[in-house]
Amino acid sequence: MFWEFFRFELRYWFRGWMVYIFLAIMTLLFFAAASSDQIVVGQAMGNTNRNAPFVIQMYYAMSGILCGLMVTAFVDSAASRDFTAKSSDLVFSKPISKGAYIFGRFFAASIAALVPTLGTSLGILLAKFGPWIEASRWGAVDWSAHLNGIIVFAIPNTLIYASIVFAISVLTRSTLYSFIGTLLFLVAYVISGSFLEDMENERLGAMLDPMGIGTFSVITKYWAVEEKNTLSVGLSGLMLANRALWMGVVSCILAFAYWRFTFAEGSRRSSRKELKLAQEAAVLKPMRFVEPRADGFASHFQQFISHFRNDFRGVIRSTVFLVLMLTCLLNMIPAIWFDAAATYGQHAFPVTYNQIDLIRGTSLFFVIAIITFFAGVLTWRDRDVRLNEILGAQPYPNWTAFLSRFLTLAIIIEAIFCIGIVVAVLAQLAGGYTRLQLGVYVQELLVIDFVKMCFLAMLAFLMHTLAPNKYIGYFLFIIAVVANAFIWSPLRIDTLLVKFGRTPGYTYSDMFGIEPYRPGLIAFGIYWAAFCLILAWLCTIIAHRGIARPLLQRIRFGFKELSGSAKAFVSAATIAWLSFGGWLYYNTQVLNEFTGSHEQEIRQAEYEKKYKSSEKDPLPSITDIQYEIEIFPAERNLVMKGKQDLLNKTTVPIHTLAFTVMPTMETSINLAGAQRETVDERQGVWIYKFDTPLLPGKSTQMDFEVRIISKGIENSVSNIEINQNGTFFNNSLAPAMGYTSGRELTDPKTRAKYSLPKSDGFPALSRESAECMHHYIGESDWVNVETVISTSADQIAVAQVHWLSNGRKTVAVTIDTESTILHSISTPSFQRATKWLATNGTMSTLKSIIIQSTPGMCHGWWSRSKVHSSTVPRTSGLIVTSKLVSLNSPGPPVSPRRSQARCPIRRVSASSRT
Amino acid sequence: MHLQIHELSKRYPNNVQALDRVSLEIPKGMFGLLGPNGAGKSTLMRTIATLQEADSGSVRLGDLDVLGQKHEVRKILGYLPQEFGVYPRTSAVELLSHFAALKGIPASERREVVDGLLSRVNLYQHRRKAVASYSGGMRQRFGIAQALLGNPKLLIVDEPTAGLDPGERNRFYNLLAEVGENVIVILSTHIVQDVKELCTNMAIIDQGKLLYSGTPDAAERTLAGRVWQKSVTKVDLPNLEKHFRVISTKLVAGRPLVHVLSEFDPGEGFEAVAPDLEDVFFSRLSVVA
Repeated sequence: MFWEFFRFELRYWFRGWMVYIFLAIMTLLFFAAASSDQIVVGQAMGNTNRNAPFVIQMYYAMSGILCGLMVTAFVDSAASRDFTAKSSDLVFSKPISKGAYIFGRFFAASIAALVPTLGTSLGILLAKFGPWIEASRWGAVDWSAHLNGIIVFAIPNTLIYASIVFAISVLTRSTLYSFIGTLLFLVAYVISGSFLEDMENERLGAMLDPMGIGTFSVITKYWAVEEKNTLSVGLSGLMLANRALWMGVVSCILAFAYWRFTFAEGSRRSSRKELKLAQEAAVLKPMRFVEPRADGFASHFQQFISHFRNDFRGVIRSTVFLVLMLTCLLNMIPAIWFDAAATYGQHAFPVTYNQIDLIRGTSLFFVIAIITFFAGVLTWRDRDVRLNEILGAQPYPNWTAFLSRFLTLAIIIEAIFCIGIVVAVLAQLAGGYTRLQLGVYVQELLVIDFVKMCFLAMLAFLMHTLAPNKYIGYFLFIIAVVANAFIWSPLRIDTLLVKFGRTPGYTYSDMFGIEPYRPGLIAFGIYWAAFCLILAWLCTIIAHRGIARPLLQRIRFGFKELSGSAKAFVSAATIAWLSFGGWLYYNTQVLNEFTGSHEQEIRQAEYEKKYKSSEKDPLPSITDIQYEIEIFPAERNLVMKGKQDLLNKTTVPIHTLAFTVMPTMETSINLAGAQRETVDERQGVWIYKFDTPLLPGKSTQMDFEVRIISKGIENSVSNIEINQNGTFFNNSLAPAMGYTSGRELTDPKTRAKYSLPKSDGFPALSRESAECMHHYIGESDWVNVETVISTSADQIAVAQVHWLSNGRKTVAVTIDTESTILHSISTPSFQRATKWLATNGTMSTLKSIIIQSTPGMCHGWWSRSKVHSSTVPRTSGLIVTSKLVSLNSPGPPVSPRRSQARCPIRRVSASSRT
Repeated sequence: MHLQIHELSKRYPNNVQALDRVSLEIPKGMFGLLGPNGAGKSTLMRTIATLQEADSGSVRLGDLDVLGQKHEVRKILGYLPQEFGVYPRTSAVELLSHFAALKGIPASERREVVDGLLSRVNLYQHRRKAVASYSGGMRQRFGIAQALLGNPKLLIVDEPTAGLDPGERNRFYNLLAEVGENVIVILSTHIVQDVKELCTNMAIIDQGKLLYSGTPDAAERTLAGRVWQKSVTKVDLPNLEKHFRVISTKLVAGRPLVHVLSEFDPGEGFEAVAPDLEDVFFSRLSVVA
């Protein structure tokens, strides 16, 4: 008898789609979490292997929390289905035993509910095949860790949820209460977790944790990376005790459910409303004949409103939405709340851009999952419930239905972001941080991310409209997304004009916001929005309306029945799209030189092959430099004029001197006593030949001028060090002498592709500063630097002397001791910088840091290796001060061209967090 | 206002000729469309209901070109398909209000119209229940309520009584007859009795071809004096089918009662019988077969 119910229930679930949908979602989630840092589940994994046993078990512990609502969906249905589907009479009139019925259902539903949790293993195992992963962070597959994850976390935690939900469901026979119960349990769990953390008796706290997560962290508290990479926690010791205790609790709850369960139909008192309805039965309402009005915008708008109300209600009433949405919030809210208080054991301000990153990292996955799933549900809903014929014969234009579906998804996306923002702002306030940048939240999430998600939703709707059924629609959408992500690089296509929905990459900075990126973001945004309008138009023209018809027929009749306004709409959208496209093409490819990443790679390889032999050629040293720098922040332009005295400190005469110039800058060089002999336009290498060789001990003078002129919109913003507020560059803008090893390809695989030898890498860690200085500053020793900088009137380079001349602020800086060759210049707008300091840092910290960084010291706030983030000052407290320090002392090399140079004396600062 | 169907043809991709140059004139009142399953009834009705395109031919409703002016037709159309489902967890009021909005009933009057219609089809007391939980008869009544929204000039109901018990069927037809006095009602069915009872005009189609159109009485008159019946045993049947044009065989009190078509008295115990619509139906079909 037990097995009858068990088998029936199991078959019921495995023939449905819910198990597979949830499994797919969990697999994708952990696939993304294990293979990238963008998607966050639980805590960041630190520097262990990405598939370390510790990580696997941590993910299993987290999936226990996330899967709670999924378990509820299964078990609640198993417990109350006979009552809600009114099959109770049919089932209960048979001679069945209560135990067999209850436990058969319970265990089968628990097994079905366990399946999505296994997506944790599946995701981690598959993540290894992600094309973007770093192979060095992946160890061998540790099956015992997966097994332990399942035994220690997945099975017991599923049973805990299942028993609670089952008991609630048996008592109330209400799905709503089951979900509320699960949520209350989770909330109670999270809150009590923070109390248990502070308990004196760690072991007791570990025992009382129903999910075993606290137990896990107590056991693994002192594990080193090596242990995390090799060990997993099995059922023994403290963990065994905890799990045994809670399985005992599960048994008690089940026994209680068994005791309370009755086959009798719930004696639900008929509500007052129902009684009233029954009395009304006799009342005959009069028939009203109202002339319908289905023409004109006002009527169509009412139709749209009704469509929207119906679609929106349909989505939010569905179980899958409930589960996805709540799981998303469960992943997002604690992450934001707890991350705000402490990061990596330090106290850091919950600055806005950090909160935004947290919202993104924890919610984008679910937003994408919701778009993917519900674009299909909304497109096919009418057909799935077989209302398509009735609806198809109603006098509404297709755009009302399409707009309603689109808006439904759009509002859900915005709602998720809005919840994230509210939580993030509350977390900031709770952390005593009052600089609420609501505008930045709105710009980043409610506008930029939202628009991107809308493009994605548009693509999903298009694919479903083209497809003959829902499943092919899902398939086409996934193919389209994957193709759009991965096809362009192998095809050597870099222009964003063909990558659907892509806008130029950008990084928000507290100094300049997104100012340098804004024109590109807006222009490409409009370009793709116009394209999406065309797609939307297409979706309404060939919509699935009425009975199923082949695509070609839908296209043929759709175009035949085209109305005048539809024609006008698509013409306007096409004109907008094409004109923006043409203008962007002119901007990105004609006005600015466009070098694809593949072409860039080839050039780098060529450079190394052609010039590597000259790496050891003798070079003169720079002894004195005079700079005259004009900065135009609003236009993002810069003119740097320099005079350098070059002295041959080597023991051999120098015959020729090569300069490396940047193709994005206009450069001119005048080297006294030498003529330009060859020009390598492609590589930007100019070789000068001395009329008479520069003998040892002799010196010469070099004048140069470098102009960076920003022109229009680029495919990806270059020269970001010159920007509206917080310009920060160093002398690497000047033409470099000799061979520039920074141009070499670094990735071993790429080097192998161009048959380049393995690179030497960085010198061994040592205190011997000779080696250090060599790498840091090249061939020069201490130099005398004189700089005259001018910038716009509202900006300032904090320095000893400054005066105003003809409406611009000009600063002359003479560093009063000899300096290293690396000097950087920074011009924030002064007011903003001080205001920032006043709210976020104290002057004393600033002072102490200044004292630490006396000019000439080889210290560094070494930026992260990623070129993009290293060029953009994403100011957090410490970085700002370090940036201010860099105004009058050599600071970190931040330019991408020199960031290859590294000093062994490294200090990791708070800025190491992206 | 008449509905004129001219030379309408439709062939499906799987090569089924669903409609084969069908021409029909349908006046005001109840019009019965009779045909066996798969005859092309639903294709014809869906085409008139703007849900599907024809390969050739035309359909005109008064001044309207039904195939070209879909939106105009939908405004005056009520359509109850052969089968339909509903959204889960959606009450009758919610769903009917949605349809009313799509039909173009202004928001201010929607509530009144919806209540009136639900009361008319006897669902008012169940209006807050999910339509998905309705019984077959209730759901069909809900279907007719939505079809009556917005006072349609053209009402198309496709096999509306399938699955209804006799009482429900009667109620349904009374409702339909009441509505059908002033508008065109096209009723498709494979139950001959329905047409006989309700319709002033009718057509028979099979395998996409129009076999007959006219009034039921006229249809019966075409067979006057040519239908004969005889009660036989099962073993006689094959022999009879060899010698006579058998229209139909049905069991009466356990014995097969055979109707045959013959210009003269076939003798052999056959007796003359007044032709009914069923004889017309089956005789027309057997001509095609």
